[in-house]
Amino acid sequence: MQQFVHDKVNYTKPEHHMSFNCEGPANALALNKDATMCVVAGRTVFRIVGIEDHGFVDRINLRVGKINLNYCAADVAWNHHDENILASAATNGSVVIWNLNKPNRSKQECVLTDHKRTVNRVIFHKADASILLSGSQDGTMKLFDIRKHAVSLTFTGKMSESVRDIQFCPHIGSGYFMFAAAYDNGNIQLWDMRRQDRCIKQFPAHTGPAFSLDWHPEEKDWLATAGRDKMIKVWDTTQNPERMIKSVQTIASVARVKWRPQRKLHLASASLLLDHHVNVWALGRPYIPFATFDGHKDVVSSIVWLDTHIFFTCGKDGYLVQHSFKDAKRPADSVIPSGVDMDLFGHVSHAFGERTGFKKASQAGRSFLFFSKAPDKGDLFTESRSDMYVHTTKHNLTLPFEGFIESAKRYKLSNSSFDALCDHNADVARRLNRPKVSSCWSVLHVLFCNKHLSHSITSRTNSVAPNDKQDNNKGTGKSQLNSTQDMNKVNVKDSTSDDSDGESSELDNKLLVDSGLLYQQADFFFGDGETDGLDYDNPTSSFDMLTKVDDDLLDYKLPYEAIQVRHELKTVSPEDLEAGHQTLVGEQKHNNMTDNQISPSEPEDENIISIPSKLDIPRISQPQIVVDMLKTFAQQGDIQSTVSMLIVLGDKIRQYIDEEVQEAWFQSYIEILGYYELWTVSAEIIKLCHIGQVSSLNQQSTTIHTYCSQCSRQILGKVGWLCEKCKSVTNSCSICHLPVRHMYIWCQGCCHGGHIDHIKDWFAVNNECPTGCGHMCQYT
Amino acid sequence: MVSVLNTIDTAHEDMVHDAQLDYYGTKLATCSSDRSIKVFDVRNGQQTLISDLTGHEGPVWQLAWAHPMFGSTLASCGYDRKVIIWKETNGTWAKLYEYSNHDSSVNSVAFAPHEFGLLLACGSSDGTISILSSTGDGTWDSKKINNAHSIGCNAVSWAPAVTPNALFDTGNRPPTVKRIVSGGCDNLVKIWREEDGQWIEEQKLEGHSDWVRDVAWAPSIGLPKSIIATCSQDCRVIIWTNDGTSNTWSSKVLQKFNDVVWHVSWSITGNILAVSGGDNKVSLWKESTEGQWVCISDVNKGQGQISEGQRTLQ
Repeated sequence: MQQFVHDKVNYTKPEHHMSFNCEGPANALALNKDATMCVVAGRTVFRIVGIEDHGFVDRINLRVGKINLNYCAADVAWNHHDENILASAATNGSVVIWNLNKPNRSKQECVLTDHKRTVNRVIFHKADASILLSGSQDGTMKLFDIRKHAVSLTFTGKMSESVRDIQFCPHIGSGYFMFAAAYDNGNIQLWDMRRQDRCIKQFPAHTGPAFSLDWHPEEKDWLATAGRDKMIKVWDTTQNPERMIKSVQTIASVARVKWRPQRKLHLASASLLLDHHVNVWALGRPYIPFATFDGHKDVVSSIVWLDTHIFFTCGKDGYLVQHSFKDAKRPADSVIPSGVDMDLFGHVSHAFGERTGFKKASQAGRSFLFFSKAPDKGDLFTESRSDMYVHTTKHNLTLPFEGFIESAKRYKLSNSSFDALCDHNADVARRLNRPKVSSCWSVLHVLFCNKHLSHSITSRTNSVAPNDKQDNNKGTGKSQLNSTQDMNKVNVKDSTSDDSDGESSELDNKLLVDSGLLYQQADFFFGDGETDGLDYDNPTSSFDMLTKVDDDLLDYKLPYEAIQVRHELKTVSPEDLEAGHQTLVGEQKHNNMTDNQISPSEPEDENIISIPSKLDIPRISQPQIVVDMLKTFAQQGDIQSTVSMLIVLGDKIRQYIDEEVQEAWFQSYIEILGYYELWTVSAEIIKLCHIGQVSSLNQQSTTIHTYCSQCSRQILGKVGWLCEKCKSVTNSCSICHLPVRHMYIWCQGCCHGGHIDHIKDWFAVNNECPTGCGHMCQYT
Repeated sequence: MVSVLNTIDTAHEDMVHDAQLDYYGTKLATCSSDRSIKVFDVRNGQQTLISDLTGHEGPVWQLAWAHPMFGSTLASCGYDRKVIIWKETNGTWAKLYEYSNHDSSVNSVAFAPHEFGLLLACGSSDGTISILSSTGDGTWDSKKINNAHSIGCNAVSWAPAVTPNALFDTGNRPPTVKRIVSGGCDNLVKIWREEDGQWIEEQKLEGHSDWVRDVAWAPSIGLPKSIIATCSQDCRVIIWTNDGTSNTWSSKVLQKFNDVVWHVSWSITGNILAVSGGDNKVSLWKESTEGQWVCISDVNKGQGQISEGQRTLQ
């Protein structure tokens, strides 16, 4: 299923995670030559532990006899020539040589007290095992000859910075005399043993202290350094100035860094704080650890590699742990390689990464079988790039993104008769290629049409029928046009000119515009946008106009006629109807609604149409069906249709739906309109909503804060024209200095203004502010 | 029909882990293993790099945009155990807040519905979920759900702010309950509810047989019904539904995919689910009127991926 670069190796002997409690925080760890024993040293720990196949075995506790500060070790080193010689760096500045051959209980051979402060590191020379080098907090490094038990050389840099880490160059040929030192100020120095007065080279490597360095075991010029700045850096020391080959940023200050043997680009790091893991990094992908190892409960203080796949660590939690690559966690394996998001318009952005080294890994695996020299698998763990695409789902009719904005803008929800609104919206939906929604609008029309019932309904259904058929024939272009015309014809013939078909009925449009104006005026007078009040007001003022037009436009009075309908609605009992027909209609409608497919093609549809022509149509055919329909739309995510229909239906359906559900619908529609930045539509919806919680939204954040133009303080007093601070009238004219009673015009830059006429006159000639404040006001 | 509109050169130096569009779909934020977050302006089909946010010290796993009423605010989380909240003021992005109280990698961030204020949930590999809330005066409060998922929490998502059981509560309006769904390495999906300032486990959904990689609570549909989509390394996407009347959740497996499913994401309108899997494909799903989930769209294979030949050239 998934393949990753795992650097797996067939283990020859059973290696497993082993740990040993040293009973005290450990600072350092060193292996003997054969890796059969290790020494763990710390503030309260100094013991030798045997390494067996099955686990660690406690061997010798060196912390015996009279305990003094010499036993508090900051570092420890094991001589790789003489198995019995150990050296430790004590926190009091002594360097202690231990001889395990000593017959006494105490194995201390000698104590060298040449350093003045804590010794941070002691190391033996790889080739000449009698050379011991120490680096101390006092800024000096001392070379001891352990045979003489005396300091032979002292290296003192010009700086008095503390030495944090030192290491001999492992390359005997060119680097026999060379060692590197890391300083508290972040500098790295390269020294030649033969020259004690000054270093060969120095370069700043870190901001803040450099805590650790490690020479690459094979690439003889490579030096890895690490510091408090959370960085691990790899340097090519031959270049001048030193070239940083690679850097790794970790999540915490790095206390130790160690190259992994036989893996050119791998190194292990331990943190000074926070992170208790050992991370192995592949320089090819410096962002995420190649492997992480847990097992410590506190930070790891020292790392020693046994071979490519096994290493030992000791930590502040007092544990000595053997880690095996078998147990490694691979953070890169569990990362999510892709991201996906969908926007409002149905665009899908998708980023996905290449599966890390997938192909290369399999090839490498094969070559591994045939060639004796294994390829450097670390190279396979490389940076992984991601590709990113934006997909569009345009022209996908099954998606509702299309048409949402247009519908929102073009739907008419008020200021016209119910019939007209339904027709208009059905038409809008049809034009936007949403036949289902369109049919539903038409059906609503049929269901709730309440005027000259028997006559109107028959004609209406006739007008719907051909239209739907056309739609069903996937009418594009012409056929749609035909159907509209068809509809118009029918409508006109049946004396319903209120289909609001845009171009075809200018008269109607004009009316709508006019009434819209009136509506707004009414709104202004009545405040609070109470539609009911308006509707009463509206016809009285616009009645003349209405009567002039056409008597069918008397439909327009419907908003308040609708109230009567509700009463009728209660009185109309199903018994009035033929039970059989009623259920037939009900079932069909119900099926259609739930399927959300008012599929006009079904022959039953003809029945629906034919029924009312014979029947005295029920004025309300089971509001429950409509409620179900609205809910179905909501459930399918088409909250727009739900809310629009709800508004248009108004009192006809409101009572059948729980108010909180309605409120939730309104809220989510308003929110979605917000997504599309359709503020005008949103405001209209809010205004048309009968639910107090929603309609009060328009009253939020309507306060305008004013500031005094003299002292620039906010006017908090009871009156808006007097500043309480400076006791001046805020709205005086800058030209005539009299208070402005009507239109006050002011510059938003300098807050000065006045009578509109005065200001106009002033700026006809001048550019600057009339008060002389120097502002170049830009009245235009 | 899905076609590639454009490709975006993110210029990230390593794998991109998340890409999120803001509320209005005008800004795209991407985050990567290379520790950086990039914000692009994606209006008019163009993409221009607005900002390159650096501040994380490890790979950045996930991003979340806050509601625009809080300004241009972005939250990010990463391997460095940090959650960083970024804010744009006058065109420049800066750190608004940094939360570093997790003990392991933070895998997921999600902003709560805006009704609850500036509130953020973060799921971490240390098994906890933390809830960060802005007090409004620049300081932040944090609450923690300890041991939310053993081994680690991979994803969090907020329930929309709707009144519970709206249909059946005719009396006093109950306060809107805050709920979170989370998915973790214990193969479980859990639903959490805030009660008296404490987060309690309300529901444990068992159904996946491997790590749950992403969870997504569908936006409000104006009904008391709740829908959650979860995806897992067991290659399945499960749709969990609750009718709002009881405490039981029914599950339906969308499909068993051929590879790990990394992400599930709901559209704002229309309840369309985008699923992104290990095969680098995105598919869009919608519930049919019969209650079946059908794939309505699939990334066109020829256009959606780089061919092998191109890849080797790179």
